Amino acid sequence: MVGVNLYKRKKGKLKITTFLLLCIILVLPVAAFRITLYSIREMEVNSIRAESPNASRYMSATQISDLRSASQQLDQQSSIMNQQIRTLQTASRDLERDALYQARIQGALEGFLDVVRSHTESRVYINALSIARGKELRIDFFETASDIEQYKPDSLENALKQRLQRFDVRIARTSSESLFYQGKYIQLNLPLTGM
Amino acid sequence: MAKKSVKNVGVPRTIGIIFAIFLFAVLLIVFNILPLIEQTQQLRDLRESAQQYDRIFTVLQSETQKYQRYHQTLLPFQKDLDTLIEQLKNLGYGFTESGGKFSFKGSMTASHFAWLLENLSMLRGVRVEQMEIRNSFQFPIIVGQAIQPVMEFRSLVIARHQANASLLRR
Repeated sequence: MVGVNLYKRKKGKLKITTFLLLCIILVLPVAAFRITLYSIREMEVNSIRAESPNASRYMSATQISDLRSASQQLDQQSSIMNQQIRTLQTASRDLERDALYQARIQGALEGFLDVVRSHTESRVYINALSIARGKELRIDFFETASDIEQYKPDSLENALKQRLQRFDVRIARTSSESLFYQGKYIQLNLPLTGM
Repeated sequence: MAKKSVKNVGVPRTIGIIFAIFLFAVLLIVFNILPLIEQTQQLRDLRESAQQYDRIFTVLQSETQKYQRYHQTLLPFQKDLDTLIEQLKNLGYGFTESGGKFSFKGSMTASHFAWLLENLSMLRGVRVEQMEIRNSFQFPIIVGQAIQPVMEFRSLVIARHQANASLLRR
């Protein structure tokens, strides 16, 4: 018997159903990987939430389905907070500077008044007083003796120097001659530069 | 005998397989690889943004607390300036206000000046921005005589610390 191949020239074909089945089978991994992608995304988002608790609180209030818009909103919020930080820092710096300036002025005035009050043998008359922020505090005053027996010429001056030492104060006797009996004219300078 | 024709219906095998593989490749690229690349980038951006947000949030909290401490420290002294101005007004000295600062120009008796100086050296809620005083007399006191000198204020500007509570409400 001779075996004759009657379909020798016949081209191999896939049935429509087979072809469709093949397509469906090949689409399945794509769909499966797509689902895996969603799962990975959810896991990553949860990990980000765990790492950044403060951002997580803000993210929970916003829609997280769109990652790009979520990060844009976070950036926008960060920029707003940065602005607030700058405003607060400026305000705090101003308050610190004001407090330092005030402490210097009040410390100097308080020291001056305390020393003058405690030296009952002297009498002080302020002739001029000027305070200019950023420049200096200056007090020009006459010192005369109220109790001649107790009065020591350099006592008040030395006490002022000692009391106001930490303020870098300069005390100078501008004139030893005075119309007053045992009196002198003193100038006190306190630098306020950079305040 | 009738000739029976058998229709060879279907897709050519090679073309079918190539098409199926091509379709698979296209779907893989469009639905898997491109989204994977995009998602990786977006997740990286989100992570960076979240970390940056957290850092800035911490700094903001610390700055707010710092300012709050200043604010609470200064709060009890907020009325100092108003009280002082009120007392000076009652003594007959008029002050003008501009931008939260109070200014005075004119004469003041030595006793009132001594009282004011005492207050300015003591009140924590009052800050002297500027002051220029001259004694009206070249030689104010002649020893043994009770001449009350008058202090001439060429300028006096006093202010208070401006701690703004609205900054803490944000």
